[in-house]
Amino acid sequence: MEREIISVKVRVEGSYPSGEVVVELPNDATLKYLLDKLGSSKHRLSEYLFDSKTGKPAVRLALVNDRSVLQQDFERVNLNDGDKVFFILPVSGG
Amino acid sequence: MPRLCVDEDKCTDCRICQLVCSARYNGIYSPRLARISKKAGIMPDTTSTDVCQNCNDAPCVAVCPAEALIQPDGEGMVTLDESLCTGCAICVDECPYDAIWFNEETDLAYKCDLCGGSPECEKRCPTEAIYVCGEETV
Amino acid sequence: MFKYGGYTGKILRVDLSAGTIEVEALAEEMVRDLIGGNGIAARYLYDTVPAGTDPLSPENALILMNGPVQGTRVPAVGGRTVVVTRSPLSGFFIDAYYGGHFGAELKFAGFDGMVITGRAEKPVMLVIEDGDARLVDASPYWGMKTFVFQKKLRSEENYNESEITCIGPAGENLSPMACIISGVHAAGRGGVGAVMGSKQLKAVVAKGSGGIRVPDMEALEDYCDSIVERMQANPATSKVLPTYGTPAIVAANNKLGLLGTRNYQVEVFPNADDIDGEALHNRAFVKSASCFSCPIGCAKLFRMEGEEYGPAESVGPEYETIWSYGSNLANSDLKSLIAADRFSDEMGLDTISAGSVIGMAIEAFEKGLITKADTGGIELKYGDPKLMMELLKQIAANKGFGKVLGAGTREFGRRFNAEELAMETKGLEIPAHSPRGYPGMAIGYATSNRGGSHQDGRPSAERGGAVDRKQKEGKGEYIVDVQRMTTLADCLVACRFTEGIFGLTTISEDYVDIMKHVTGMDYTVEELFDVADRVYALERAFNAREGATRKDDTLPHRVLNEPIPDGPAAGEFMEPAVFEKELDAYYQKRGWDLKTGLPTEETLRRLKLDDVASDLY
Repeated sequence: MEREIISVKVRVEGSYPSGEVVVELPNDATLKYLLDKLGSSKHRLSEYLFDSKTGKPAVRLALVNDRSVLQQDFERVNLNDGDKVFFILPVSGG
Repeated sequence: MPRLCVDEDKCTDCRICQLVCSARYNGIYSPRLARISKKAGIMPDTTSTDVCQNCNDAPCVAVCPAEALIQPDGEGMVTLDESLCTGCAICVDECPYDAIWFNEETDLAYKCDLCGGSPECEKRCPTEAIYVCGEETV
Repeated sequence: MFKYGGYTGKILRVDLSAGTIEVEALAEEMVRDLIGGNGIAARYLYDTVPAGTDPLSPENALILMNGPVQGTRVPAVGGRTVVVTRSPLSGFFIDAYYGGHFGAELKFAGFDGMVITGRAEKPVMLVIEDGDARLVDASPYWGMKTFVFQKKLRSEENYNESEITCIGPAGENLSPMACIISGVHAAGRGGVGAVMGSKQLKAVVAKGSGGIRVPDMEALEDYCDSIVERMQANPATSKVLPTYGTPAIVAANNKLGLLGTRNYQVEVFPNADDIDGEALHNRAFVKSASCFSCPIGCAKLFRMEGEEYGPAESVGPEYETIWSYGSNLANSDLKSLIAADRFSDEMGLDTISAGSVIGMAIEAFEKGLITKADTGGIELKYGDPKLMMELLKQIAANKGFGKVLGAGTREFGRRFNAEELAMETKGLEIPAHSPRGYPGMAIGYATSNRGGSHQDGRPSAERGGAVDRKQKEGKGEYIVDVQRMTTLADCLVACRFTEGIFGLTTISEDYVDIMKHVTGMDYTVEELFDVADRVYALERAFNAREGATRKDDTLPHRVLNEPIPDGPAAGEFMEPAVFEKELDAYYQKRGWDLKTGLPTEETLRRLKLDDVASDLY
């Protein structure tokens, strides 16, 4: 039987507390859907993902399991149950 | 009485407090002219702050020969009336908090006056280390 | 008063051999064309240090330079300063940047910067206070570690409110990896500390009661507020860096498969979560700290109990050090990283180069290219924090095997026929951002005038997906604009963490606004591009006089020939043919000669560097 709801584990670089958060999504959800959902529901991760002045996503890259996905491709990547998503911020070291 | 308090655990020693203070009052970026003084050792957990505590029966008020420092009823805000200040600088030595200073260019003493109600440094401290406190007596 | 806001208009010329100090006026034209910091320092270096000058000789110049913005409130710009000299490690141009509070204090003391030549007969310190400068005997302090020295000096009444720029024993011992320390901040790269040590200059000490005037204070204050607002809205500057500092990026780098491990043999470190930002925060965090006028507060005081590696209390390790002493050495002992960071700061040692050469030496030992006969009897292996501490001690002492290591990876490679293991460009060790994973950054490493630099090219846009890191085509042209941004920022002197606000990949209008508000000078973005190109060409010309050509704009053997073997980034590397093609495009965009890798005569004249054009052509 096809699942209606899937669970993904989401981590955002630099979030505090860090660690994975489980998010439930419809089973045809894309990466874009996930990001929008985190933003619109004022999820506690949203302040790490969006610029609070412009409302635009601050994140331009995500790892889905081992695979890098650029922001322009977020809407083309479907998520599966158990996927690990790691949002990477455009921050860099000294 | 109200005064500035600083949570040194939050203070990162950025000195923005001093910059906005001297910018506002003197039109120049000069920490020495700020009405709040920061000191720090080498390691970050050694920051300290000198700023007017608006002492009850303030010693500076008692010692000012020109009565330029005013504190009605010996409690609350200590105000400096620049038009009366003669530039003797006796208050500078008298202050137990090293929180009143002398400007050699203007020949006037200067101290924190909480910006008349909404301190610039409190508004701009990036870690909210500075806050107006002061129910307790000093 | 100087014509433009922000500047004091005064430079100190110090001749340590003659014991003389002169105050020189800052030329207005120089300021318009080169702005300050990196730009003005590069000009002084080019004019003062002739080709072939031994970096550790009295004839080398040590230049310390502010930009117009130091001492003002411009967020994350008001606090940084640059040291420029000829590097004893690479033989090329070096610019090393540091934060803290010194640059601002020097401004308040009345000076934009200083040019120091000569060599003192015995150890001295340069003491600057409110327009005056004098040389003071520093013999009692020679040999002191940097924290001990700074605390001792500040306990004396004359100096208890001074800011200090100094060297530790590594600089005194002339280690080519010695850095300069101010407070707990480091001007890290290229052996600038050894240049200072070769001059017997223990410290520059500044105390200032002056201030900085700008054309319209109210407008500048409003502008600063607007920048703060943008920083507060941006997660990196409002959350990530304030909470974790630069260690924040360790975990994701490992997940990207781009965390250099064992001298970049692989780029996945199995124990990365023992040494990442979260581990440091949970196990060791004490307090945050800031540079002057910065609201971000990215510096972190870390502390752990137990002194088996020495005191484990330090401001740091930063990301670079977590790589260089951690994954690069397959070392997952968190306490040892804090202790090693502390030790490096106290001795005044560049953590990036020191970690890199140790990582190379261990690989060479494992492969039998060196033996115990070369190492003074020590067995070298990865994952050995005690070994790391021992080798750092030796590098700081600059004796025996430590002296061999301290000469750098390029020399190590030549000496032991291990050139294919050296991760350096122009003799400066490549830092913690994967050259195989970020092709734009790799071209940046190859073309940086100082060598393996994480601050000329930048990895941030590629790492964060603002551009596609996997696409190589066009990265030659791309990195030119990134370098323009960093070069211009280095003239102000801005902290690199403004890049997320002012722009990751090019010079934006923000820089026009800063120059207008602080100095009153009107620039267009195009004119700022010209300033950046002018400074970069000057640095390149300095290197050209030392014999640098296109052949020196190259990449390590590992980057050009060995794909990342495993992990999420398996297979990535820079094919030589692709690199050469992108290098051509790079030179084309810069108006440089494709054969020589040098600015053409036409470009130099266009940039108003006529004297340089006459020198080179």
